[in-house]
Amino acid sequence: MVQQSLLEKLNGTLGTVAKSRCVDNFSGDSLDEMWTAGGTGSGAMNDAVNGGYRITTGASTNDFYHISFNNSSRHYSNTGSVFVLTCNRNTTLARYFAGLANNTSFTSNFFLVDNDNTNSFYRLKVGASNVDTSIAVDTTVRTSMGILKSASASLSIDGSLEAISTSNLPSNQLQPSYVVQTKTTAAATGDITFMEAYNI
Amino acid sequence: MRSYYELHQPLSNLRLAHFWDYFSGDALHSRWAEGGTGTKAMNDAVNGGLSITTSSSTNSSGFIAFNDIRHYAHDGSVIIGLVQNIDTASYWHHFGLTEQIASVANTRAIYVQDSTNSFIELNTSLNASTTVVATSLSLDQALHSVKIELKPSSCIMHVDGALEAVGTANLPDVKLQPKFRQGTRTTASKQGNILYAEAYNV
Repeated sequence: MVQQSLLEKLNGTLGTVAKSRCVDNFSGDSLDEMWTAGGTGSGAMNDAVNGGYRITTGASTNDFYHISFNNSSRHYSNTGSVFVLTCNRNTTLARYFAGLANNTSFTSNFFLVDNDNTNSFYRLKVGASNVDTSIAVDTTVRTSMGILKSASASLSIDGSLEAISTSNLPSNQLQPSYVVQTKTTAAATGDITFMEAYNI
Repeated sequence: MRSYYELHQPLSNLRLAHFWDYFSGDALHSRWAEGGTGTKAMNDAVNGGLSITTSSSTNSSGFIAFNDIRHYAHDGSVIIGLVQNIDTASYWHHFGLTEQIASVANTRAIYVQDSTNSFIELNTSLNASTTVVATSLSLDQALHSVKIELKPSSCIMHVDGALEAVGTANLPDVKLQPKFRQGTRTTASKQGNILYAEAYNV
């Protein structure tokens, strides 16, 4: 049997020119070099079954720590890209948001799944727009898939379409990001076990 | 265009720990930590992978593992490798899932070629008590595909696609990490190669 390439399995045919993609299983003894970590806190590979990479924030309210591509390798299109990620936050009074963002100030130009204990539900955050899903915020490990097109952004969680937004769409190139933030004066933790981003 | 995630499972199924490494390129991937003695170097040959070459001290060995970052479950995981022992005498050659990197004899499930034996074996160990299950395969210097599956009550090993060993005693009971190791039983160095490794929880 002729071995099929991974590229062909993902793209269907080599006649379709592949575009940028990254995949990280967060396995092994160190974070892959593609990532840059920053913010207030720390991160380390998590020595636990299905442990992935764990972020621990600082212990001041709203301290956050993140991984991204350092604002220097923003390969993902604001008019056609996808993120898939598996992650959670372990701490009740905390937040994670993750997906694709233009810069690590996270003030605009982003397209994210947001799990914030100060809200009632997981949200699709697209710039200043927030769209609630039907899933109550929690500490459960979930898989999120975001699809960004020229006129819309959609969010699926655990395989079900949950939210669509058509406003405040990003206007610049994007990078994968995962952020954990504490909402109290205690450190918060979150784990990420898979992240993938690609252009469509 | 599909997501890599969906190649393996639908989005409605939570992805568990899973990695793979083709041991290709000019350096060992940073997910691996090197240990023991000897050298670990990318092998400049067709299908070369990574070579571990031991030092020339009797009973020395070199290995790669995940530095005790243990994502794999003792009661529901799979490890697959393409491995090759190069030498004909005075060596040992191990591949599988193990608890610790610090100790030679510890909790683990491994494929073993050891020149003190006649056949390729499956070893399952719990706190240094080991059960050995011999396969039908004589020791050799061929490239082999190895698949070890850890289940709640058994450990199953396939070599080159054929079921070769089933162990049901001294099964690991703690989280595990991948490990590949080559050792020498003399004052001559010994070599083992690895072309592929993959592990995942089920």
